Amino acid sequence: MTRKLSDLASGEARVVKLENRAPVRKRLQSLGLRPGTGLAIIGQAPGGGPIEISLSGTCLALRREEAALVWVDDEAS
Amino acid sequence: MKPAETCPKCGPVGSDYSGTGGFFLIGNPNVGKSTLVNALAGSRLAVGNWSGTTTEKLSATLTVAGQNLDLIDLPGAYALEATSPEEAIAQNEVLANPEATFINVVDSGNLERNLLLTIELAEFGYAMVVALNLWDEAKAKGLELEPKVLAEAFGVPVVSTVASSRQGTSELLAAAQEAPRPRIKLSYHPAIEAAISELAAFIDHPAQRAVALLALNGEPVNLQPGGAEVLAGQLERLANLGLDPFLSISETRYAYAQELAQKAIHASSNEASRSEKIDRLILKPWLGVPAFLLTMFLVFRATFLFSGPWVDFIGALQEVAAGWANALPLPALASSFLADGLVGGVGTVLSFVPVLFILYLFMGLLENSGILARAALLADRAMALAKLPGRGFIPMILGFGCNVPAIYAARALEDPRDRLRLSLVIPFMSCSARLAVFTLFAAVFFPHNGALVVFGLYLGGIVLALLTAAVLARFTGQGETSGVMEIPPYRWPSLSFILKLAGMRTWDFVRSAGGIILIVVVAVWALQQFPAGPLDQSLYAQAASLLIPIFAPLGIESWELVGALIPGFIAKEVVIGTLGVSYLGQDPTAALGLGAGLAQIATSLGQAFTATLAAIPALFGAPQFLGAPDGPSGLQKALAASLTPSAALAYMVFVLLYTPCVATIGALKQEFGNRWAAFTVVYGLTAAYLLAFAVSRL
Repeated sequence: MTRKLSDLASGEARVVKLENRAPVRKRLQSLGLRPGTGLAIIGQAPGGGPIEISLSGTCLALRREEAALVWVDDEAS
Repeated sequence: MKPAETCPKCGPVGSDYSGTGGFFLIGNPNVGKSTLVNALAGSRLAVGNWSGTTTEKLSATLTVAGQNLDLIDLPGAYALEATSPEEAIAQNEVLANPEATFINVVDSGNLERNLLLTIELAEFGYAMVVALNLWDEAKAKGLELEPKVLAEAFGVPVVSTVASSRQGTSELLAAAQEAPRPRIKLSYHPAIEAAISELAAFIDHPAQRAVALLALNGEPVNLQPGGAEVLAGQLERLANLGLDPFLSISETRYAYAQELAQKAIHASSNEASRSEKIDRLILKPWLGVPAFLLTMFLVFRATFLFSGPWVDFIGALQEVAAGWANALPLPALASSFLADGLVGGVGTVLSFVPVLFILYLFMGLLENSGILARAALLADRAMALAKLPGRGFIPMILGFGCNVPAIYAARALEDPRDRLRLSLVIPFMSCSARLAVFTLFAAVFFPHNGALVVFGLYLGGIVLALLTAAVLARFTGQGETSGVMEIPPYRWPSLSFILKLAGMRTWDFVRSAGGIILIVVVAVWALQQFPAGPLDQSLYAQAASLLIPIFAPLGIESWELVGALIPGFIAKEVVIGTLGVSYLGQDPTAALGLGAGLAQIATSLGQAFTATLAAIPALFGAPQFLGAPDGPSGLQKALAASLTPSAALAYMVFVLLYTPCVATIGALKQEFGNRWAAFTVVYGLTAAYLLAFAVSRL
């Protein structure tokens, strides 16, 4: 099922597309988060803080509003 | 796609060209670049700043085969397209140094993403070598890499290294001296290729193709007259084709990076890393936040406990030196100048060395072990309350060392409004100069829970800073915050590097702030000498007495304490020095013979060592192991007699918040102009007075 990364609480997923918001997309892309990338959710910082995800070989933190720019395919379902 | 071909324009392929323009290290953040510089540079490592910025710059001069070569560490960059000030520096340096040799440091455990920068750099065709660093970490993860695959693809040497244990570093240096120019040419989308050809004529740079790609990616590169129009036309043409040049270029590079990584990696593992497992725990609210607070508390407690004995030792040295000065056959005024003014000033400067060194040491440990990144992650919500991005937490933490570099570090925030708000509140972060005041006062007035009081002051400063930033957002507006950041794996930091870095940063502080501290202490001494006679009749005491009515409501009624706040405005470092001169200047140090002085130094040195060892168990909650402290110093006795504990707390709060020091105001003025600098001074004084008044009523 395709949904926003910010709506995913746990598990693994694959990036489908990034919304075109210029500075954020450029940064995500150069950090290795791009269509086709597989990722796993590690957790969320307390109080609705950023989510930490692991990609191949690295971990990233994104605030919820940034995670909302990333569309993923939930692989579990 | 046909990725690699020989590039006729890329210079002499495989020639014996060796760089004469020095070595640049370039790579992603968190790939162990600084550790590698340290390993290559040995004792010749130097710390400085990139000109026009305060991004820290590590460099060294190497002597290789009788030749002096510069080795420069570029700030971490994910790509040469700048999305951060660090990447902008990397881009500038790459564009400006076509004759240099580039050592591209790559994280062996994250090949695919790291190769993006390698590809982009290789397209410039400069002499380069690749260091597959963190080789041990990749192996531990179960990865098996074949460096030869990469060496063949790029046509440059690829050396596996473990910078922390100096593995492969001499091979790397040897390879760098003979570094060839890479041969690589990616085939981009035909429309992009056409645009590159159109642009090439307007680019006066040895790496035309690479610069054209930067221009198409929206980077502000220099074009010959008429080039800007051609670029605009090409971008419009691409847009009409429905092609986003940035996306298209980066996808081509990614595809090649992926292909290379797949060829180079023979075995991999999908097991969650140790860091991931730890983070799963840390992100549970009941564990992460308390662990984070405990860590910060331990850091400040350790700074307090470990620096104390050495501050005392420097105090003892100062007493001995003053004693020797008094033993010289000199007129009274001259020996007082030596003993109280000069020795006092130098002693004040030196007394910051232990505190700063230990604080920088712990900061280095937190930074290089990956703990600071988690702290920024956990603090993100608090920073969001202040309407600031989580990354802003790091300049705030740096403010604990010294506000000046912290204000420059705030440039890491992209939005100018965020940068302004963050910089304006950094002065509430208690710098190490203030810590020295707190340490002394806490030892006198709160001997049993000094660390707790100091910790509370720090926390109070943070809360006021966050509140102020949040309120300011209503007036200045706020940026669209970006919280995206990489969370590096937990690593054992290289202790030798952190020690060296802490030493260099401390020295940097002594060099830049030492002079002014010395001048202020000597000036205060002079004010106290004239007119000749009792100290409480001096110019200095008269000036300070005028201010007593203002401070009396806070319970601070002695001219010595009020007076010390005035030079404290110039540099908070001098508050204690001035207090010392004010209180103890009245009671000249006894003359001391050479032998007696040396014996005293030896005894104090022994005591400092014992006290440092005793501080280790004390760190974990048993302060009584210290034994009965030896008699308080003259200054401590004088302070205890002049203040009640609540007035002492009020004094500490005032020192925490009142106007930043001159250097900090200078930094604010340079960044944001006179108005905002003046605002900080007035706001700081007001907040300090009101809160100190509130505390004095406790």
